[in-house]
Amino acid sequence: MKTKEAFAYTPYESELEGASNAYVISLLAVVAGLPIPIFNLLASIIFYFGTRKSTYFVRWHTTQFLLSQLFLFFFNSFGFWWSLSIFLQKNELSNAYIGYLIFLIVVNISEFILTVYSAIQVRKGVHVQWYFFGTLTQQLVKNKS
Amino acid sequence: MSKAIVQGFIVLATFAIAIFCLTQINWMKMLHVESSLQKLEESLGDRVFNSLRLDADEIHGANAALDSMLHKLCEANNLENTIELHVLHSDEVNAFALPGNKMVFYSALITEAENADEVAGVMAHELAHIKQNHVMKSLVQQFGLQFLFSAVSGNAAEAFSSVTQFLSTNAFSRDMEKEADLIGLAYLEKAKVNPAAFVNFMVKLDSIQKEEGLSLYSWLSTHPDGIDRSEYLSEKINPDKSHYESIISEETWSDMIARLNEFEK
Repeated sequence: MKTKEAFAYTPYESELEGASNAYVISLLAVVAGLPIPIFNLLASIIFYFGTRKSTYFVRWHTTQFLLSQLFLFFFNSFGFWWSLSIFLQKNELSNAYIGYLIFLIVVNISEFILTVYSAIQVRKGVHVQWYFFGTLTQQLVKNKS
Repeated sequence: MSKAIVQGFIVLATFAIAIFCLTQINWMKMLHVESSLQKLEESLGDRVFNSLRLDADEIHGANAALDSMLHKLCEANNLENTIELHVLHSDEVNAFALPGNKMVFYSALITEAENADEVAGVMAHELAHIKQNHVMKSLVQQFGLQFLFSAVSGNAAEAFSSVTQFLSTNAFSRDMEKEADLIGLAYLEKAKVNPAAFVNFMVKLDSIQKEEGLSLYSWLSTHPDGIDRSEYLSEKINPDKSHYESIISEETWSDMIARLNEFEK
């Protein structure tokens, strides 16, 4: 789900750190965010607004990660409310629920691994472009300079 | 942008296929969830019933008549009859469902009824609670699964006392009671038992309880208001249906009452 592509320019060392932080910040939020999906998204949104005036490279990676978080948020939220309804006995434990929960676990672990990988690679100066989210980011974020 | 749309579609389609495939697997069986819950339910039912028996003797002779009533209700409604019926000697007018497909009738409820169809109404109502899994739903909601598992695995007498008290008094929510009333009514109609007998029985118990203020009329006091119930049930009774039959013969009913009266002595 990721490709290494050449970026429009060679980013400075400070940019690599800023872009890598976009991924790292969400890893910190994971600790609090695991049970409540909104925390991860909130961390990404706050970081996104904090780096709006930053360089193209930083904005690009912040946006890519925010988009992926936004996408996952809907799946996680659905799972969260489903779990809550089972806990409150509005719904029953079922094969559909367990299947969906396993899907969420696999997707979230995959996303976690991809996030760690991206944070490391971006810090090294490698422009990691995620499938779909990278393409979408390419369309949304333009180089102002 | 078209590339992003195509890729987005591929990602969503992959997710949809993955979710579909994962939800088709019988996880409940594979992870032994079903069997664990079933064991818990059976164990809870046994333990609660044993604690009830400490205060009330079981009347074995009355089961045959009740069993044939239950058989008729289940057969007419294509329901699997896995219910374990028990009649306990008590002055309390009560009947309730326990975990593990157990149904308990107190003798006073049966002797208070004028005929078998009135008891069949109560039975249909409790059967609906069992078939809708209201018993375990209410228990989990009230106590939590962890409490129930630890109560069963340990020897927590106090825990069982509160579970027993809960099940024999105010176990179900208003919505569950209404659902059981309406499903019970449908069971009766399919079994060609006049549901008006159930409504009349409810109104009768309600008026006795209100006039005399008897605390022994538990079955009614732990359910929604009898008049409300009789109103919504009367509205649901099919007025065109008139070919009703008695659920058991007059002779079988009289035999059961004789057994119960004999036990009294």
